[in-house]
Amino acid sequence: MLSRIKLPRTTGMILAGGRVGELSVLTLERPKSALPFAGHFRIVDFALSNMAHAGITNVGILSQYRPASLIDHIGTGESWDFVGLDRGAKILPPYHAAEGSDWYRGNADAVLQNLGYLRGYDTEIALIVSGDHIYSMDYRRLIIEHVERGADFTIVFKRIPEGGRRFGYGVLDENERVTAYTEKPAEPPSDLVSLTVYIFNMEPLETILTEMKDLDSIEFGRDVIPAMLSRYKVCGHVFDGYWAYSRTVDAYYEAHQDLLAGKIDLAAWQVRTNNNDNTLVRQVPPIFRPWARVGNSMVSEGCILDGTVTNSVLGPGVKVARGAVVDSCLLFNDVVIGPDARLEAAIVDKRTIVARGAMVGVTCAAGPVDRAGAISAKGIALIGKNARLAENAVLAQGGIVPPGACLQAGDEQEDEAPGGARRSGDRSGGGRRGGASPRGNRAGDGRRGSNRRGGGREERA
Amino acid sequence: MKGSGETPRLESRFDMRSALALILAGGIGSRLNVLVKRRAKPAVPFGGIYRIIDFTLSNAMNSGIERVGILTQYMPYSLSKHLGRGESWGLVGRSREARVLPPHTGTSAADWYKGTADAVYRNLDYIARYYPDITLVLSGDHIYRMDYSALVEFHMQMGAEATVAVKEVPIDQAHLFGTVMVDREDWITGFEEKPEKPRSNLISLGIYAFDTEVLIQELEEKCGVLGQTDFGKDIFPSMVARGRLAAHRFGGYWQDVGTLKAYFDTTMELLDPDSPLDLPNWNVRTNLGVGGAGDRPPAYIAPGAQVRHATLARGCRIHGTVEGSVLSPGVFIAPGARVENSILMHDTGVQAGAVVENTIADKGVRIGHEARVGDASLGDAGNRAFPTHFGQGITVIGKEAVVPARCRIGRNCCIYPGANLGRLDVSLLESGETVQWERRTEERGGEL
Repeated sequence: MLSRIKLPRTTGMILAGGRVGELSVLTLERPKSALPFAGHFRIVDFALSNMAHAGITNVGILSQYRPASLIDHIGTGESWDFVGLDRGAKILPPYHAAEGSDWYRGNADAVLQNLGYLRGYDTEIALIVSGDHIYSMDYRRLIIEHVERGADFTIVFKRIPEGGRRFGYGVLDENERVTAYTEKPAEPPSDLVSLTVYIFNMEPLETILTEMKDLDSIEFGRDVIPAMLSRYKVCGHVFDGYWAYSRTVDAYYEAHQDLLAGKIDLAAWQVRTNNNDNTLVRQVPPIFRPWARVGNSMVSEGCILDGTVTNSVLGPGVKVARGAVVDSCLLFNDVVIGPDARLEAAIVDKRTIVARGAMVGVTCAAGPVDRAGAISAKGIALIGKNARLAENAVLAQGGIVPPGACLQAGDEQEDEAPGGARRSGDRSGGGRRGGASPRGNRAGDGRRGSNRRGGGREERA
Repeated sequence: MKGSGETPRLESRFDMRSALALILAGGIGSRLNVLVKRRAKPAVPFGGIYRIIDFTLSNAMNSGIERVGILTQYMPYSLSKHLGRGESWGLVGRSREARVLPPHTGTSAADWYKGTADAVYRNLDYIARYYPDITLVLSGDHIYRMDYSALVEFHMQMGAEATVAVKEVPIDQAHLFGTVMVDREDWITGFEEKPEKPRSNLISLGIYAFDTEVLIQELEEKCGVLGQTDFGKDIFPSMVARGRLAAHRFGGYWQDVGTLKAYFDTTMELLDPDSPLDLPNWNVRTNLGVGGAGDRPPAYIAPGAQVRHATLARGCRIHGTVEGSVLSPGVFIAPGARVENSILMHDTGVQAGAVVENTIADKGVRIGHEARVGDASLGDAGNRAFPTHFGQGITVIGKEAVVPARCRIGRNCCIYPGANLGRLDVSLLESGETVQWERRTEERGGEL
């Protein structure tokens, strides 16, 4: 019986700091682990819930990129049962050391700078996982396997044929020992993709990280794993459950389609989230008005629907007016869709307003479009936070509106790549270009722009 | 937005942090029939995710009150679990609290609360510990939104010993309530409890503000001597005689949901965008942690489902048709099932092809495939066992009752909690019939 086995003292660490350009306007103001998922959840809930279900009592969350929304979300950690004697969930930000130290230089450097946190709990095993992944995994079983094998380090892999260049790949021998590992190779040596779930014995982790402390940056995939391979017993575990990640717009979008298809079963996985979030506690159950037509969709609290919604996931507080049609979209908190607006295949970030008759993702940009280098090869349109699409504004497939911008009707005529899909090779900008004026206020309606890089944080990202 | 650009000013207003609220949550609410069989009336679920007491607690929170005592004695478990530590209403902190105050021994010979005033009297120690300027005594039974600070402001302006919140109702409904007579300045001159021929269309809302000193004095004088003591009958008359009891007119929404009809109609108001029961703007809070409601994913509406004129809570999975209905968390509606004009509470399931109309189903009710509940073709006879409770055509199914496949149930029917009609061999229940059933003690337990 698994419950009769007492684990070595295990402390969790969640790598939650990253922002990637591939997510464009969605991660301008939040790390990708804090991206909303399935309405009122956030991506990091999966890692936190897995930790909680494995009986891990202390978890450090490593974050440095705009952590405000993450800090608010984790709160006291109560939602994942991290409150109590000898329990805790702590955000571990970079700090100034006596010798002037600074920002995390790579994900392994983040752990290096917090070795003291691990030592503080007399940690025997460090469970280090990414906060950006969508999966349900029994870490407890993994740790038991790790100990039974006498491994120093266990990496969890998943078989992903034709995974491409984004991943780190391992090679296993017949005893499931890792014999080789390469990060983002041009030619993958296997189909075993690392899921960034690492189980380290404390001693080798400390030894290797300390040896690397003078490097400019330290990454697990690039630096730590290869170094471990030559000196320690490194085993692989092949995970065969569902797994997805939030690294690209298309992967994030597809994960939601999997959610609607039942491949992600939040209830069975017992995914927990923070319900004391101020954006959630004031919401009433969703209201379906007489003209609502809703199918194959998830609808969160506070939604008021009087239009057509299909194949979509609606976050808390979304309003869809009569006559509006929303198909295959992800709408984040408090998005308002006006009467007769039409949206297809779009991700709309928090508090954005799409006015009457606006069209999103319905038309193609003029001329043939090569999306090979685009933010979304699938042609998903992206609309940032607090943006506004004015009446009858048109945003083409794959178009991008930066946070706080206002897209007017007729704007699509002005730009060279008119409000629509980016042309091949145009990857720059991450939301600075596109059909709309960045942080513009052409409507002159007095809405505040979104330029809050100066440190304001009155809203939740 | 308030604040930005304005010079900070001091307002001459009573600071509600110096008030203490006591919520009377002991009501049995027996007219709600099987819904209160195993829970107190303030703990009855309402509007999908709420319980009735959430409205009073949220009013207290929204009024800036930081200390709340909840006086309860009837079936307290679901209530005290629901309250938790009070954090859902911001009532946690060094100076903030929500505390359940059950009857306790040592106050006098007999230990159960004997009336509303007696319940407060037994907790004078609690009041004296804080000695607030103002003590509010609030009923936990009603659906309303009120800013208690307006009541307290009025109370202090009047210089009253106590102030009763009152509301004007159509005179033909006044006989259902306790009525209040007032003079030209809204000083109360008399009370009548459910008068046959009402002389006033002002009703008492069971919401009182007291000068704490007067309250303590009055309670010590009256309650020690008398056995059963209520505010209306035993405490207020002497204040009326002194001319120191004021009435504060409340013009907002207030609804007693103490009958099945009122409960049903008020719930359905949630679906009416023009109703003054405007929950999206009321800021009502509840404890999502209880019963796992907060752990559930958003509601899922399958392809081919039809949901309109309805509200669904978290964790609902809808494959069939839902119209004119209010569904609590975790309700499952199978393909081809139809639910109309009904209230289904937590985790109730309706199997394929079943039809449910004009029904209140408590938590965990199971309705088998092709079953029909609220079937109008079985007549519309009133309920024979509880003629005063039923009679609007609504069928009520108690918690965790089972309606087997192809079973037909008429209107105005009453099914007791836990009754398994399959095992009881009921395949047809004519309108107005009741299925009584008592659980054995060892089967009891669980969260209500």
